[in-house]
Amino acid sequence: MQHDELIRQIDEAYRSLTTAREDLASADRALSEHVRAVRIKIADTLLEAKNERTANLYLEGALDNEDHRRLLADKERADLDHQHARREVERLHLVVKVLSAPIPTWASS
Amino acid sequence: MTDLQKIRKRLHKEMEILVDRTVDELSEEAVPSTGRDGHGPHGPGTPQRVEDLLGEISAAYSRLGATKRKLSEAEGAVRHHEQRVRVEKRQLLTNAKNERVAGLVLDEALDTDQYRRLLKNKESAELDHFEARAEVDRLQLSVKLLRVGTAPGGAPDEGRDDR
Repeated sequence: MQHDELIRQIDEAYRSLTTAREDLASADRALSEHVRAVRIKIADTLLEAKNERTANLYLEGALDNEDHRRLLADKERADLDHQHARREVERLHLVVKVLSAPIPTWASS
Repeated sequence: MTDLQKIRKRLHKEMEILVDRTVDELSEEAVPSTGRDGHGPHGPGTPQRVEDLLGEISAAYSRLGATKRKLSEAEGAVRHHEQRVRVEKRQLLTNAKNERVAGLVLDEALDTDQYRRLLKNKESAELDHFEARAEVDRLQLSVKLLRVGTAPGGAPDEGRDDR
């Protein structure tokens, strides 16, 4: 493989990683904000709950809606894209490592 | 001098050392590679490419230092705000029956535009710092690849399939 082609792949991989990271942060923030808003909305109910388990059940009930499921799905997708971009960078690191390793004598003969 | 100022000073010094070291290493690489491997004017290891890379490396390390400073400031601002709110609400927090109630009291107290703005600043600073780190990482990988091409007998096999 040509150097220039590898350099192009490296540049592209890091660009994708940065974009994926931004998307993940955005999805993460949207989900956290939604959960916090719902917690505040039902604060009175949560305060009246007898224990942690009951409070969690109230919260789960309040979060059982399409909006929340969509935000969760968005976050999951962003997470997968980020993992994929990280793996691509790791792959290129490995390729460069292989290229810079000395060729063993048994392989060159 | 505060702890933050000390950290900043140390960080700045470390960045300078790193840049100097990388520049020295690249300069050493540039000498033997000139016109030896038959690549074009901008091929691996040519002075033009090394010069471009040196510029990129210096810029990347400067940006890394700047983003790190901004991130520290943004984190400090969020911490300071949370601490101030906790002090303001200490009476309510002390009277809270348990952690859950205390958590809700704090959540409500922090449900303000000012806090959201601070969080957004912090997130933006984190992303900038991540991007700056990725840029340094990318350049390190490019330098490593450049070395492969300039090392005696180390040029990559053009027919090799890396996928």
